[in-house]
Amino acid sequence: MTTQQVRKDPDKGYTWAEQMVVVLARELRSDDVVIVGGARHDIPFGAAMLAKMLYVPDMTLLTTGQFVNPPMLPLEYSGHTTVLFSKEADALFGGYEVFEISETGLSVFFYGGLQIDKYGNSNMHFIGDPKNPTVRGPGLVNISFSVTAGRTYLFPVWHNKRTFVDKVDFVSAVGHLQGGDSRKNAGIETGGPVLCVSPLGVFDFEEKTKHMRVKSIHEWVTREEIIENTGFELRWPKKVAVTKPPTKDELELLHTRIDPHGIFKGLSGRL
Amino acid sequence: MPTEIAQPTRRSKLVSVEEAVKVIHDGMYIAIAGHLFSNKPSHIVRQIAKKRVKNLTVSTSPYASYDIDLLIGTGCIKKTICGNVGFEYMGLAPNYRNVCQKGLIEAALGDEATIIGAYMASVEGIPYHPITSIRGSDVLKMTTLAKEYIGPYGDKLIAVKALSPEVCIIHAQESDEYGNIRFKGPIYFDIIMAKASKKIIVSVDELVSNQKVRSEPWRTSIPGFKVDMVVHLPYGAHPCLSTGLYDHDEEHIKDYINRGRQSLSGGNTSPYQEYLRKYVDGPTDIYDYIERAGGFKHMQTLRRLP
Repeated sequence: MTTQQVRKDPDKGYTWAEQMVVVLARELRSDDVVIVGGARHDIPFGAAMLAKMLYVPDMTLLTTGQFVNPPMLPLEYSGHTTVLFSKEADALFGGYEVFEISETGLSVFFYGGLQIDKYGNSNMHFIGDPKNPTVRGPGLVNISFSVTAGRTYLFPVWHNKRTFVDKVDFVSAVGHLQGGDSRKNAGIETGGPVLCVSPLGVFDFEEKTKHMRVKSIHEWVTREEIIENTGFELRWPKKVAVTKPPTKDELELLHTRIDPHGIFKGLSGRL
Repeated sequence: MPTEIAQPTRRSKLVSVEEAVKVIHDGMYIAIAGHLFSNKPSHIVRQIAKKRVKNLTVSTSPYASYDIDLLIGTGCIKKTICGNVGFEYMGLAPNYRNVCQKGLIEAALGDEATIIGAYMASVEGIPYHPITSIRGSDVLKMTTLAKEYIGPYGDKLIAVKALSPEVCIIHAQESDEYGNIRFKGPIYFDIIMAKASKKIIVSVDELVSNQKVRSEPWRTSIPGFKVDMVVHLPYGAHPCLSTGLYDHDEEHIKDYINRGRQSLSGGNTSPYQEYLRKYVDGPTDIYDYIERAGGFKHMQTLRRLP
């Protein structure tokens, strides 16, 4: 099976990206302060808008364009420009505030990754030996939130053996480090990655070992497909759920208000 | 009746772009403000590139794009201090990627806390700024910007060394002739970067009167006494965007990326050299550049109203 086939869409009126968006949207809470809009942040941006429009209007949404609670405008191909010309928001926050929340934290942040390992560490910098890499990745604009955000969510847009690896070549965003108490022992007080949501399924982390575990499989994906495309042995619970597909309301908002340009249908070629 | 006293007038800080870049020399450390492809002082950057200044150290906000890539493409840069360098949904920065992968320049690893913390140290006049939020990451092990230390109260901290650029180059939407700078959108890290720097050069899309500035002083973000030179450059951020006024020029940027990519992969440097001839070395001034980049008619299509 090729990587292209693994990211196939279900034949059910929605796409793998839309499934990822709704899973993340349902995770957000009223008292959360959430920041989205970094490089390749379409999926979290869509999730945060959907959550705010449908479930948690009191959630505070910050964008990296430095808007506090921007208007809910359709996602543009550039996440950076999506709300930039709106001239409407509760407030703007500046460079100092970005430093401040980096150090003191916020509720939720989302990380992708060229590589993600079994303890939820994410690599955005180097593939191979970091001193002599075969690939130099784009890097990361903010590492701090992996340490200071209350919860982090991983949203790799590929699920294959190159992305899901036993151990990342370089820890860019800190996950559960080497598992167990290692995150706490490194002096990090926040909980770290809660879920990893991929094009194939939803994964959480075992309470004690912090090893990645299957939580649910998307309804069009098989157990074998997940095993074949993961570069380490996942933990499996006795009963594996099927991911709750997008509801009618969620899809309606996504199609008409949040993503009319079809970014989540793969029309932009971004994902 | 007392005799009338002749009062001297205030000195204008308006200069030409050629005059402004006279202060940029080989081996200098400069900062370029803006963020990603927002508010980049692109025309001043092109003027530096045109002079083929050598061995610059350049730091930016944690997310840079056209500015860094163009200065690398013209051989001006020895060292960068950035987080991410790229064009978001349009693609990677071809020249930056090439020199990083081959180790041809020194590319310090940074991100928001490390880079902004380093500017803040300069703003506050201290040799380094303590941070705590990149612990556990391998960036801390590899970066030349930060070191772990134990503080006087026994805390485990990370020191990011002060960054003090010799010149900071900014693009804003408005200014008067005395350099009172006003933005029409997010200010990103521009104020911190400006305060951390010894000299400040600003390009603005529009000039406004000092009377207008004085009638609404709460709109001035960087007061003129901090600013050394102002250059009036309509569409001076192009092909990047200027907040509140015009969007980035997607086609121009995609063409830039493609030319960079083709030239690096084929070994045939002509597509990129052509870009330099047309947009960097050729233009006699900003109006000639605008003409070459599609004219005012095309620029008008990039304007965005709320």
